[in-house]
Amino acid sequence: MIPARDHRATAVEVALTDLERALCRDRCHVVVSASTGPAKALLLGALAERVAGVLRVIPLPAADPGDDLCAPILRELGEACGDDAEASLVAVVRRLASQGSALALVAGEARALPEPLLRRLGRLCALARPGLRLVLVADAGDGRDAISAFMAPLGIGAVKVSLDGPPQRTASDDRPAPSAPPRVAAHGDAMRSRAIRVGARRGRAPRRARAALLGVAVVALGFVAADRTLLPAQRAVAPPRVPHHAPPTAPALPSKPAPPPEVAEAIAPVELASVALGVATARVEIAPITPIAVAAVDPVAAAAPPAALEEPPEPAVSEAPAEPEAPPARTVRVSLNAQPWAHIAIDGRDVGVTPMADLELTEGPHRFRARFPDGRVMERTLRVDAVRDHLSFP
Amino acid sequence: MLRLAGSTPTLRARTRAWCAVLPLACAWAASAGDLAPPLAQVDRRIDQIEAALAAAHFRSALALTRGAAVLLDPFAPAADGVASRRARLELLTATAEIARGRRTQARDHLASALRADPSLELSERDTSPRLLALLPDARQLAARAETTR
Repeated sequence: MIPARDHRATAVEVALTDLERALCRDRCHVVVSASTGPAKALLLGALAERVAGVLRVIPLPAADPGDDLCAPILRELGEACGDDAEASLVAVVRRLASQGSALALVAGEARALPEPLLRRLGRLCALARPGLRLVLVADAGDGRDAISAFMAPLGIGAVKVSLDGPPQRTASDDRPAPSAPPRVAAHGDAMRSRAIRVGARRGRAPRRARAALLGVAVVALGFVAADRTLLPAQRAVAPPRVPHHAPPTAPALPSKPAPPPEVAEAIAPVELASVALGVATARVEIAPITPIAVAAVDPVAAAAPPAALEEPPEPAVSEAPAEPEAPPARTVRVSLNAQPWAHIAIDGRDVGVTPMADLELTEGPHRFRARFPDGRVMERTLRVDAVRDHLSFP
Repeated sequence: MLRLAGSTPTLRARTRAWCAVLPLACAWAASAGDLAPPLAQVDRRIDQIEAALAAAHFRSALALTRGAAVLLDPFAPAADGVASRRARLELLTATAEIARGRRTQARDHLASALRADPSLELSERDTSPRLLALLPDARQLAARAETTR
């Protein structure tokens, strides 16, 4: 029997992965929509731990409309607050961005935020972009209008990560986001390609319970009517179904948020029995992940000349030329694959045959060349960093 | 057929009708709802693993393969379609392992794939030379395991 806390932890784990992808790789603002309060709390509580190496995650300080928003954030970050708190905060966020990190502000109840505060947040996002990302939490009951109500003053685009259904763009994405770079739309598409359903699927339970009851009725009637059995071949190989009771309240998130995959995958065999007992279960479905290599190619980097392996990135193609100091050269472990397979050269140097993982490269743009067995050759330029460390051909 | 004592022919006819209709209704409900055959879950998982590998997410692929193996465990190895899925799964695991440079683990999984499906063929055109290089050792290992069984 799989404990219910593992079901929940698995659901949170998958949702965390989705959030991490949106925040770290796609560099988007995120609207998190969930129907269950405990799931949201668990999710956001574990987010900081999950992305600790890449993002600084802090809750949005509670501030009255008249109060300064930036000073409490700076205090939370442990940074000095100068005469102009806003300028200090923007400088801190830009410094984080130059180090490959970013600041994520989590607003627990986005709908409750006053409009002046939302406007100030939107302005801050515009000034500090791309080092500042917002995580706005909304109730699943909030309709499109409710989400638009708090997104409109912000004036930003965001990806909606729903814990009860597949992710989608928010209503505010219908219009251009003034502070968002052009690639956000492409990354939004990449987000949409992953459908994740997390949490108690109460809406499905009655239908599945009906189906289970039908099954019981058939077995009983078949027993009476001369040992007729239902689907004998399937029963011969079906796993044993163990009744499973979920606790009525959400369990605390384990100290280590990532459960063993064996536990995660073992949900399915016991799910039917849980439904037959009327117990809602957590279920995770991950749609096929599409290659993100095209979206990850930086157009600025694509125009740049190839850099040699193990060389620091050239200042001319730096993402933020106004930054006060150049980022230190860091190595990133890159994974490469090609369909069906290919010889790979990076910046003119042969590195081997795909698939390959943990290839150490310096941060910055690199030119990848794939030579397929049928003679085709493809080239891509990727600005490698802590979040863009995967590339696949074609 | 069991005779229902005291029942009228009409009642027996109704019972027969329900016996005929209910399995169909249940099968329909299973196909329409979430009661898909468990092997379909394995197929979905294999699709996800292939997508993860194609996107060079090797660690995610490995995590998914472990989960898929758990899904396959309850099935009898001789059951229809299980051996080919097991072989596919082991082959995908070997691909992820060789990507991470873990040759021994990759060879072991390749041998498991060959044990699960001895007719498994790897095309030179579609299979990475890194994996093909392990094939002789894996075949040897699989043969040794068969003889010691």
